[in-house]
Amino acid sequence: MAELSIQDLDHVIRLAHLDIEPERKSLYLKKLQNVLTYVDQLKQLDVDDVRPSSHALNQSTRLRDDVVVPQPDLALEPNAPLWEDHAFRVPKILG
Amino acid sequence: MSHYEMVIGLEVHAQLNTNTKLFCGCSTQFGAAVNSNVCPVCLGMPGALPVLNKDAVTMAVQAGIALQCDIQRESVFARKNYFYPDLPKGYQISQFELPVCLSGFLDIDVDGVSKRIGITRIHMEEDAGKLLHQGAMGIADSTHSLVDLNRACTPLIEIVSEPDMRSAAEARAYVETLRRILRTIGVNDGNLEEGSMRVDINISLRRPGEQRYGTRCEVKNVNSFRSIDRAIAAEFNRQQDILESGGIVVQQTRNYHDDTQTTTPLRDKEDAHDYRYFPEPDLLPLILSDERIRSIRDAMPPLPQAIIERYSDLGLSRVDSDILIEELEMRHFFEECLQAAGDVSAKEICKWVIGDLNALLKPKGGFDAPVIAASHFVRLLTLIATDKVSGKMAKEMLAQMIDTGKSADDLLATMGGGQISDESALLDMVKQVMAENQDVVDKVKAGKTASANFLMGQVMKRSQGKAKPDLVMSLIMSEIK
Amino acid sequence: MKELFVSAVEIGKRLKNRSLTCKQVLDATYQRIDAVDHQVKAYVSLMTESAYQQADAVDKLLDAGQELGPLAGVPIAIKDNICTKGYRTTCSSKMLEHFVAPYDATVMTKLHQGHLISIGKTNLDEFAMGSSTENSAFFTSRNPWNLDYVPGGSSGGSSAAVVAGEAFLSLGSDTGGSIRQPASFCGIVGIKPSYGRVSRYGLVAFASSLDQIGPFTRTVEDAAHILNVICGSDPLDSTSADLPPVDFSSALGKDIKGLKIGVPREMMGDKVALDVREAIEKALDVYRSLGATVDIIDFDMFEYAVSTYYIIAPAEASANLARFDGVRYGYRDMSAKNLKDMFTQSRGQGFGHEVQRRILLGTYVLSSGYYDAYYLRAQKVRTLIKDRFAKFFSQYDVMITPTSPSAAFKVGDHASDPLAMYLADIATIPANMAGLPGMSIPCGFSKDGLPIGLQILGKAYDELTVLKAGDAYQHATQFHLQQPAMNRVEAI
Repeated sequence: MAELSIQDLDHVIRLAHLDIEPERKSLYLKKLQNVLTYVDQLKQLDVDDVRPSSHALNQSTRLRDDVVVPQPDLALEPNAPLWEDHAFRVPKILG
Repeated sequence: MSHYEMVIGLEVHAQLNTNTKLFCGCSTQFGAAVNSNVCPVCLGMPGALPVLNKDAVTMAVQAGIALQCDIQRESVFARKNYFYPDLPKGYQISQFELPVCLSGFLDIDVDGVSKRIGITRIHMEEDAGKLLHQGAMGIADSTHSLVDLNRACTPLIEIVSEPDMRSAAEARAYVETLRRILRTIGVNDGNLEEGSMRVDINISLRRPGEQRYGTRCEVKNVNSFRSIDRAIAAEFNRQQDILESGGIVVQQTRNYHDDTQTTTPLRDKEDAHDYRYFPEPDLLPLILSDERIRSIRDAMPPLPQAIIERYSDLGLSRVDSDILIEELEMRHFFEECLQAAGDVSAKEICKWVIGDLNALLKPKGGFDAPVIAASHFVRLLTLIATDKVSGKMAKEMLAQMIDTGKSADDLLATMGGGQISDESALLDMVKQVMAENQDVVDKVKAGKTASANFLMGQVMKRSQGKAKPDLVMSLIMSEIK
Repeated sequence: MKELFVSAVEIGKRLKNRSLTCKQVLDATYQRIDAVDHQVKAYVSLMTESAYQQADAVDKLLDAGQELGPLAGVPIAIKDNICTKGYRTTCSSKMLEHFVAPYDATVMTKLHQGHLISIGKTNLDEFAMGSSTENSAFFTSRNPWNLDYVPGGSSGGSSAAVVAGEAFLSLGSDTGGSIRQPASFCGIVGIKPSYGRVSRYGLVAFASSLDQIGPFTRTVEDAAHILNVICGSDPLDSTSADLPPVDFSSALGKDIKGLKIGVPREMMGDKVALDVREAIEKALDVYRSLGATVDIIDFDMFEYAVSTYYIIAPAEASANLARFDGVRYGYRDMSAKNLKDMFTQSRGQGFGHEVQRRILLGTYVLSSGYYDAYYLRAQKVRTLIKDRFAKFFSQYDVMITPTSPSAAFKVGDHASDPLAMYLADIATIPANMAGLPGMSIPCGFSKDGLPIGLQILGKAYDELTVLKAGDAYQHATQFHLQQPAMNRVEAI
């Protein structure tokens, strides 16, 4: 398994939308590399004919009736970082 | 004459006509106040969990059946991960490797030539919310945006076609046919302008005869039938120019702008292609039994083709059938009338529904909640069929029935009876009129047959318009002889 | 009040016979919190107003002679990653420091229906990621047995509160051992029910296919009764098991003659501290004396389970935590000039280091080019683990292991080596992987005087056998009745 490079880490940081100081990056890199090296032991197992398990349960997904459920007041405004005209305000998307 | 042929595949997103959202009990009613049809689930609050809407499943399966797909006995939901303010959870719950429907088709007709367009797959997914950009016309110069999550989690099906279309006309025909099918079975209302149906166009170019596909671009923001034609033309020309000057088409997503009829690249959210799909752990697989699929199929409304055939058997013209298919509410009313039809022919009912009734109902809300009962309407037509009233009388009566809500019989009573078609009574009137207008009778005998109309007019006047016109005329003519 | 340290069932009896009122018990509990929590640091916030309202309501019902459940009126603490309507639910993170939950988790509704009194929210490792509460963005909770030591994690606050007399029982959550390990470190009972037994609606998700809510109690008897309150199929949780209700108290006071116990050899080797092994050996002797049979067997999947966990859990977490983007609630960096900066800076500042690392790890193992090698492979190994357990349970009734390879460690000891921290979960992780019920009960003390826990694992949905085995042990031993020194003054 190829080693995790700083470019790989930068790529993943971008995907995860995290802002991380350069000093912390090298520390993270090392720790992540350690974990990835450890989990590599899974390669020792033969899983060619094995079905992946997403779930412990063996039932079909629950279904809900198509009936409107009225909602009590959800107190959106107190929790909203920035609330304007009954909507969530975010900074400009481009630029 | 172009050196290139276009290869087109379409991805259509259609909102399902359910009462509630895909994973929660919020209403999908259009036009609600900002952020009022929301709950912890569709707001993506911490700890909230999705539960699948039973009717959304039914509608997705119906769409699959109508489009001749293989309905999958087991399908799996997956997370499509990316960041955007209208996506509350930071991922969309969709279906990836195991969608609910695979391998279908629909047939289009372009200038009399029929062609089968393959459908690769149909999957279910939740819609995102809406961004209202402030401070400018569009996203480009806006100063900030407001997020409205009413639309978030609305059920969608995504219908992906094979790249089988070779012209804008074919693409347009595909969308028209698809729209008609989905509207007819009641799954989607096909409103491109309002966005209940959205079309993304994938287009690439290649030399005729070439087997491999060229690099394709995806064109979004196509919100009308006219835009389909124009966007395809714009993108075709753009790619053609690149290829002819020796360049290479870069794969990208582009936005269509109707005002300039051009496409521009969508500012690529970096690494946006890595959606990191994985099976949704908050949902279990959707297992559909053969029995369930069969019962959905049995309960399905008829498809356009079946309706056209049936109406043809009933004597309706193709033009009229198409109108009835397009106008859902009108057709429902028509069907109700057919049930009460009795002596009235389907063709006759159709003529009145599409014509006079439609015109009278338009200012009164149309067929949505019609102000006249189907049974009353059919009664009126029955009176015509049994010669109790004339067509002309019926038109006036219909207007009054709509205004007053009275039944045809009640109205007739207040009018003093209906059409007079009793021969002996009419004969008396004819004889009287002829006696009073000997000079006109002589004119007719002399060869001026048109003057017979004057005599008929007199009989009609004497009968207060109730005499059956054609009977009167034949009596006049036979008396004169 | 010396009654602060009796079992929940016991205090429930005294409330029922009106020798004590709910208000009195609640007053005493809050006074205890006032007295010791500056040292124990179990609580993030208190729910005083609603607690007194509930106490008043239950007192009225009990005074009127109403037949209520055995835990009516009993104060319970709630881990701060469970949504409590009208009260802060912080997950011990800056990201949610001021977030007030607009709805109640299903489990809170069930507690209310069972007439328990929710008194406050307890500290955890941030977003449940950790084994000591040292990853909490606010403070580290302390082990009441020795305040220099950690109480375990991630549900450290809930565990410490119960031991220190600051609540009679509490709720935690367990994704890789976060109930069982703190229970073991604090010398109390902690149970992770089978996956799907307790609704996850309202539990802030860490790893959706592994998370379960479960109780900390002083006795196995209490655990059985609180499970009766919180378990049940929930229409709001698609992963909640569609099973008929069970009376878990029917497992109590049973004979365990003939109970077949299997002990995996790899969990009794030198990965495990000597004093822990010795305590487990003695416990196994107790089981033998009660008529159970004990076999040491080869299982061989424990380490693989740790690797699977450190792929699957971060992967699911990376997606579950994507909703924390500063748009609708939670922390936002208001100085950000554009959307992208708002996302990255809010998340960069709102999340602590361990959370960030796990998000990065999770994102990596799901990313294009790595999905098959990591995530898909881990899900396949998960099937192997489930199959291995199925094979085990076709021959044995329960599996017994130490809950943790060692007793509690000192605050700061593991901080530099997360991998060592991860390996500390080796005994508990497999139960989450396979969706099995697991319970930790106290079975001794380390050479430093800190509690040692014994873990009992059962077949899926077989909490009854697990409870039966644990209860029988508690009838034959007294470890669960021991109190730390800080309690003994009060307990006289």
